[in-house]
Amino acid sequence: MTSATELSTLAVTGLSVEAPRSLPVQDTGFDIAALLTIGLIVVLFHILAPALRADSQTGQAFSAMSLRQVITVVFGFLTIALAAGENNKSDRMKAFSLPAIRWLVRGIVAFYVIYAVVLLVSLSGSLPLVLLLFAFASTLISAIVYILILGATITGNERNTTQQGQPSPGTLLRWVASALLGTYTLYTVASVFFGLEIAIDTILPALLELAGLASVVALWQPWNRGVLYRQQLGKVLPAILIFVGVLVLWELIVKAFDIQQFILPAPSVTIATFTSIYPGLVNQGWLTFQNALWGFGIGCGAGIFFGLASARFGGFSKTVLPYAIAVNSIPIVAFAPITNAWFGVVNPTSKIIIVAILTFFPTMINTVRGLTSVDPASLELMRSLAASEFDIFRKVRLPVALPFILNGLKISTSLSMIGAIVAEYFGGPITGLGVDLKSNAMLNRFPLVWSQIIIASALGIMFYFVVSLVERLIMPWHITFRPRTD
Amino acid sequence: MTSTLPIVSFKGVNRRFKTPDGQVTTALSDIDLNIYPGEFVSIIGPSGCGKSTLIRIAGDLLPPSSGEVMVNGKPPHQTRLNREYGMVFQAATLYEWRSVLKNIELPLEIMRWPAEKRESRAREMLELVQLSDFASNYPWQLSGGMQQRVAIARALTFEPSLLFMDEPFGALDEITRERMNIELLNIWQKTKTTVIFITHSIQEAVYLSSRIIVLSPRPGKIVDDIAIDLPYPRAPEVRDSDTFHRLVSKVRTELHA
Repeated sequence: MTSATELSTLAVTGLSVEAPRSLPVQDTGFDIAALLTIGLIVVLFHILAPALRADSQTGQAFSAMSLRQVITVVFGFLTIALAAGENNKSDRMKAFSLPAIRWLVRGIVAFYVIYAVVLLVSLSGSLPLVLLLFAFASTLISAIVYILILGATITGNERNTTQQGQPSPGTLLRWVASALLGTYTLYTVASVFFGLEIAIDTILPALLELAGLASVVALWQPWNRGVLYRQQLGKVLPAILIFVGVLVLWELIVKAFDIQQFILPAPSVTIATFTSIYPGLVNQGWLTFQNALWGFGIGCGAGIFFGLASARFGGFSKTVLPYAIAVNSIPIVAFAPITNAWFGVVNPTSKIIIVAILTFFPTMINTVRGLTSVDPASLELMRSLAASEFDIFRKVRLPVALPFILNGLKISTSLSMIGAIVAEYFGGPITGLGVDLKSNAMLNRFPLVWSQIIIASALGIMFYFVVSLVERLIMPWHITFRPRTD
Repeated sequence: MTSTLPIVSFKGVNRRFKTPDGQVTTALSDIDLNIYPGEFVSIIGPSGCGKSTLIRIAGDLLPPSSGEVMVNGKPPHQTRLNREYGMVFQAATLYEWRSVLKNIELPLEIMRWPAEKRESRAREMLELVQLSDFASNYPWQLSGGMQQRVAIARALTFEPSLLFMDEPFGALDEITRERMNIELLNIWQKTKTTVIFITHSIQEAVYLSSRIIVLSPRPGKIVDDIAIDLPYPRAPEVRDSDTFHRLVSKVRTELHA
């Protein structure tokens, strides 16, 4: 008996399973969330205030309604993340495992699915009233969930800290800060989604903005995170130095050899151009990015679906795979004139189809590979338990396939952005990024071209990071996310 | 012993395999074996003699080429569908996306137990294998021996009357293996499960078993059936006794005969 206890104590100390809980700082994810929130608060203020909306560059840059909605939703998520704090991931998860919250979250998901369906239907006709009702209901539920999760996590925090025998000095502060930030979130939601511009001409928005900013800082507490910054600095410094070094070298070479602008503009020129025209760039980029996003959704959705189907039905795989390979070997971009002819040059569908075909193949191949790369021993275990095919699929094949599927999705993020831009080379709405990029290139306006390349890659990188984040959230167990032992 | 009905019986069981170059090899030849409730039977033999094949046939993971197998009074296929046995493999085969607790709950999920019952049973099993502190850990955070204990807990969660163990400690080092042997005996005495245990370690077989079946090299035939008359509970010191050494050398002689 003693040997076993010894064994487990040994393992505990050896693996340090009980990670030091007093260490409040884990990684820079929290800092990024805080900085993003601050950025979004500033941006949202410019979008909200009627005076700034028209006059300021930021207000113009984010004039697209769909972009505002996305920013508002992201802002809401960041608010919850900040309010939940970072040093107790398990408590955050516990909040989600409360039955009431689980049902509410399911409710929200259901509502947004219906919302999306209604949105799709309304593209053909128009159902503004239903849409508004659903939007209102889902936002209301989001607000309730937000408050519940907030309460659960904060009380969870408190229980935690008191269990450790330490007083929790920041609890009241956390409550107040979270409540203020939450108020500002709801205020922006009301304004952006429903046009309820409450007291917009008074000092209220400005006050709320300042309160929101102060709340973020109070929740973030960057002054307590010096240790982490010093650790991280060593890791990111080489990359930053190389980046800056390349820019400086580039600038020097262009100046020293007096290189013409249409061959290679100096970084300083590109940056100046970028800052002077970025409102237009953001709008262009967003328009094209939406095509990429829809195409990604359709292509990857179909890829996963056919991947699942072909792994389930062997005959199906034999029938579909040759065609998939054939489709993949066609230079898809050559289809662009054809889809233009089918759906119309300015119709986004013609671009979305290109992106969808482009992203279909990598997703499908990865899904099939994932579903079929299950370790035989895992299957034998399920067989010994007389598990049904469905259980085997759900409990073994799907979890094994997840990393592969997400790999396919990550590859598809960059493909979709490339596809959306290149598809516009063959004609598209004049406001699209690809169309304008092509005409700028033909007119030798290369600083503009470079600015557009910057915004395109920024969107591509953002997209990639969002998918990576999703990956991290849905498979935290995966080998790539394990803490390094060195 | 002979008065009760056997829980596992093999009658004239053969198993042939087709090798990749088209030839037929015989893995098991004319196996006649009865195992009775409450026994701890080890099957020992040189590698490739068909030990694992034998246990796989009993668990309906492989069909026999000829002969008759009965497990719990039924053909193995029916026993498997009724979920009347637990299986522990050489690799722990834990699912890396499940916590230790969730891994143990797996058989109960498949058997559609309600969530609360699943969890409380899984926690009892963790207690049994002395890993209660590791419920929320992931398999990769455990050592090899601990992983194998989780696999044993998983095989026993639904209280099967039979436990098939296919070289469960084969990949562990000597020290861990001896500790695991002590624990396995404890668990066996608490649960009163019939155990069929495949091993290629003579010491392990003698220490654990009430009976040892010795198989010959391929094609596997039963060479000897040795009763181990050391009384239970067996303290680790049994390993130093003369009877133990005598039994070890007897099994060794049979193996090399």
